[in-house]
Amino acid sequence: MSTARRNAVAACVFVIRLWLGPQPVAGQSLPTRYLIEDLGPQSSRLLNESGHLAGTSHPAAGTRVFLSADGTTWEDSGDLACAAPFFFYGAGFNNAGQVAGGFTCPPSPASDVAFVYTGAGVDIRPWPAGFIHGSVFDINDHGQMVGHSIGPDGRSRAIISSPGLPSQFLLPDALDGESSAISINNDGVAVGLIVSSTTPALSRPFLFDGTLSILPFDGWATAVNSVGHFTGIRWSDAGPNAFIFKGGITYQVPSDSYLTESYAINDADVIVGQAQYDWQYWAFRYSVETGSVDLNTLIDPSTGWVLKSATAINNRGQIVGWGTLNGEYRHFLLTPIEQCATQDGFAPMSASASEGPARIEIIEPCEHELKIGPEPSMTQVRGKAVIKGIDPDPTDSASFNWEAVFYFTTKQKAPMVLTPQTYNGAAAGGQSPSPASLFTTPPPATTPHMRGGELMLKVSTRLPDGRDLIARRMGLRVLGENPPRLDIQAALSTGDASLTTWLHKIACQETRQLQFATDTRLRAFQHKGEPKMNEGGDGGIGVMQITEPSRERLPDIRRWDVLWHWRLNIEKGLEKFEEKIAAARNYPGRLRRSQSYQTFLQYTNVRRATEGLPPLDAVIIRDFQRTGPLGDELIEDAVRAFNGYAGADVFGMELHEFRVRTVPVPTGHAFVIANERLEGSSRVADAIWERVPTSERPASGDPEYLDHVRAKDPTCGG
Amino acid sequence: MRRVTHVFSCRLFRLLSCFLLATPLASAAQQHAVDLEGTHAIRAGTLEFRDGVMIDGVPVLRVLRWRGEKATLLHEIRPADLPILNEDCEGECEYVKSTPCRGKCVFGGVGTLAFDPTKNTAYLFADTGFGHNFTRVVVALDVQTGALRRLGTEFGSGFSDARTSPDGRYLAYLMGSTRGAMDGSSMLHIMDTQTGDVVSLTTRERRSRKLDSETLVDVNSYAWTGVSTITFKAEIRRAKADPDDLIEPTEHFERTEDLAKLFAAGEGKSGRQ
Repeated sequence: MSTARRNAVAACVFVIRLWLGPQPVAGQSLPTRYLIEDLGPQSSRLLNESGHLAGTSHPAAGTRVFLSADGTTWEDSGDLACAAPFFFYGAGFNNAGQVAGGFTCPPSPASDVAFVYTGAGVDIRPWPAGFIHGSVFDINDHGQMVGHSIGPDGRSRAIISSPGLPSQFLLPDALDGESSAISINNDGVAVGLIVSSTTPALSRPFLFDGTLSILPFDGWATAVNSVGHFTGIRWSDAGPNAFIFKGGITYQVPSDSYLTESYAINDADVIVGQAQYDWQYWAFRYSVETGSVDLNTLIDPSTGWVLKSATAINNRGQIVGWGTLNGEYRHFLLTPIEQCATQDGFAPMSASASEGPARIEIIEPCEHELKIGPEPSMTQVRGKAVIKGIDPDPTDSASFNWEAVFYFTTKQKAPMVLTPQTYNGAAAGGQSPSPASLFTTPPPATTPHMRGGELMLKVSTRLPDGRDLIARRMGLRVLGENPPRLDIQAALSTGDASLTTWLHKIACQETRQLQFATDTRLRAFQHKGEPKMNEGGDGGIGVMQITEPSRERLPDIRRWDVLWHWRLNIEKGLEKFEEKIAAARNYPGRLRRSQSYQTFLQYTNVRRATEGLPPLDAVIIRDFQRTGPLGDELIEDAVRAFNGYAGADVFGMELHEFRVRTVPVPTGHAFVIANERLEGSSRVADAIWERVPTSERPASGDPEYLDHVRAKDPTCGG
Repeated sequence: MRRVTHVFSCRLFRLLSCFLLATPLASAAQQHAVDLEGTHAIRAGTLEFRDGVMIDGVPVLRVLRWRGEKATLLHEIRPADLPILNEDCEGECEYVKSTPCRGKCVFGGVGTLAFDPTKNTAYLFADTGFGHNFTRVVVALDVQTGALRRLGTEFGSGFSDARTSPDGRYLAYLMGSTRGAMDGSSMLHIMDTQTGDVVSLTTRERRSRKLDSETLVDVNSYAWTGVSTITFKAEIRRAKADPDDLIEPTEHFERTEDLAKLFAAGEGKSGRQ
């Protein structure tokens, strides 16, 4: 390495402060008990924010990826491209349900393959030009993968791969050592390790957010969270020691004589990993505020489990890892049991987790899931906080600031991130009769909109000595319950029995008359309790599959209510249908008033002249009728329009269910007519309406939509 | 400690610049009612395209150039500014009561599809129809001069993942297509940015395979693999007869197309696809 280069790299190395042990500023409450679920022997070590799991098979069992929404039913990718790999892994799993990983195929020379598995197929990502080997370690929600690739000179370089693009080198080319990126967050901030070209080689953790920052000790970074805090492993002569880097400070897991490695970090800066002493392993959890805890102390000891390593943690506090169940190698899922449910019969939290300085804890709500009931109204959230670690307890006299934020990202192929909805509240100390530590979001009657999805509760207070305590409760879910179908049908009823039947059938065709998914199907981008959405990523929402919100770039806060408010969804659906009826009613008149009409009449008369027929003064295009020769023309045209007018007619207008019959002539089109007659002194004839054949419709939308709707049972089986 | 905080200086700067966005612009337009809540922005180098900025009740697309922490307003584009033809309109505004109609027949505001740095041109769109699948007009904005040029129309339920070819000649994007029964697919369309002609690579695939109307070609991803060549990955599957059907693809395939040849052969069409 040249001196200039060495200086350039050295300039990016910052002197940092090492902090051993807890340095609490903000309080934090972590689960004191977990429910444990057996995930079986296959490698299920990946977890996303929905609590969905992913894993890979052992090579001997074929090259397969497994996905599961609940840990009991697994979707199997089937054998991937390389039938007999000698190395295979799934390394990253994002909230879009994509698994990233790699495998090595045996043909000589062996080559590594990076893949993204989505449940719908495997996408192979190319390495940078000239590179055939490498590894992939993580994927973010935008589908960006990171890892490293090995060039012809045997040198590894950190890479980033974005959907549809060739992989690129992540770090500046000036670095002449080696590098690998191990984790990436949704802002594209990546962490990993850089190995110097010196002898002996020095391995350093790095963070790259457009600027390269290198920590000044041996080790590597293993995971980064959404705010750019990261965890990793620091090496010393004694062995590995896990650390968290946040706010410019490195916090090492206090380990006495045992060794620790961390593999994951969530947005609350909680890390998980594996600890070891004298070849005995245990899974641990650590945060700066609460210290380190052996996860074995937080599960029911009678289950027969020994938790040996924790490999992932999400923002709901769920943890996956591996261990033994009655002596057999198995993977596990831990789900937090909330604080208020821990009061009965469970063992107390371990000393290292319960002891500590002043902190604030959110002890309500108890439930992990809140419901929007069958009769839609905004969920009212009640939070309660306590201050701990201070004697006497100042909770009742303190003032609190609360924040409740509802987040929702749709789970479609092209997910949409909706603007979070925030409620703030404050309470002064000593308030009576309600303690100041209580917080309630506005009652439904005063909230004009509805939100579901993920809920984050945050509370903060300032102690008399000026210290601020903050606690967050993440991973709460607000889900919807479907009303009885009879209620849906009643809401879709009009005074017109025939129209009502059509509307019931449309709702059955669209969603089986359901607002919310009744089960989770990853491949269909469908999650139980969330609004039914079109999997194509085009924004179709709820009972009537309203697409309008995705195109309404207006700051109307109510435009997203159709996601969670089924009555509003139906209201919007009826509104849309009325518009389509209006459009059907006006379509014949628009044809009559069009320039094309005059042109076609002229061509019709030219054609008639060649046949020796007198010219027509007018071709009458009649309006659609409810009981017309072609059926309920007005409503059927509106049903077609509900799916969309794909294509164009010969007049240059949108293609409806029916069209005016014409014949091509050398210069354009002429009318096909019927019932030629004299009306007073005018010679007129009728234009002929005909149904547009399916074969002449574009592939967009559903060319047979009307037939599909007609075939539905208006009660939809319920 | 002071030096340590520098580790995250870039991140901090980004957050700060987002926060500061509203300040100079809001004060410059303080005589108008400007609402940035609910806006959406995409960045391309120093340029920012922020749509849905409500000015006096009208959704406006703002084009900004950032230099450090300061932004210069280059253009404000209102729906009424778009050079829209009668044939771009799906019906007339008078039928539509649920969504404000702005300009000739634009529902909502003006959105940004993609920015082509080679031509300093942004591709914008606006909705000119309404329904599950509907019409949109596509317009090119010369960022230097602010000139707007109508390219053509598209039809579908959603626009996504738009990217220009390496030389900027072609604009590729995925069009969502909703079949109603909670069943959607992504179609890959290419627009010739010189002529506005559009070719649907998925429709080509359907035709060459002679697929019936109940069989879908659903595109998962695509990449520009040459100046005029594009490679996409897709699956073939039956359409759903019921919303809760789980349909397995019958085939996954990858296809590379030479667009220069396709358009030269007259495959491109104007108007609604």
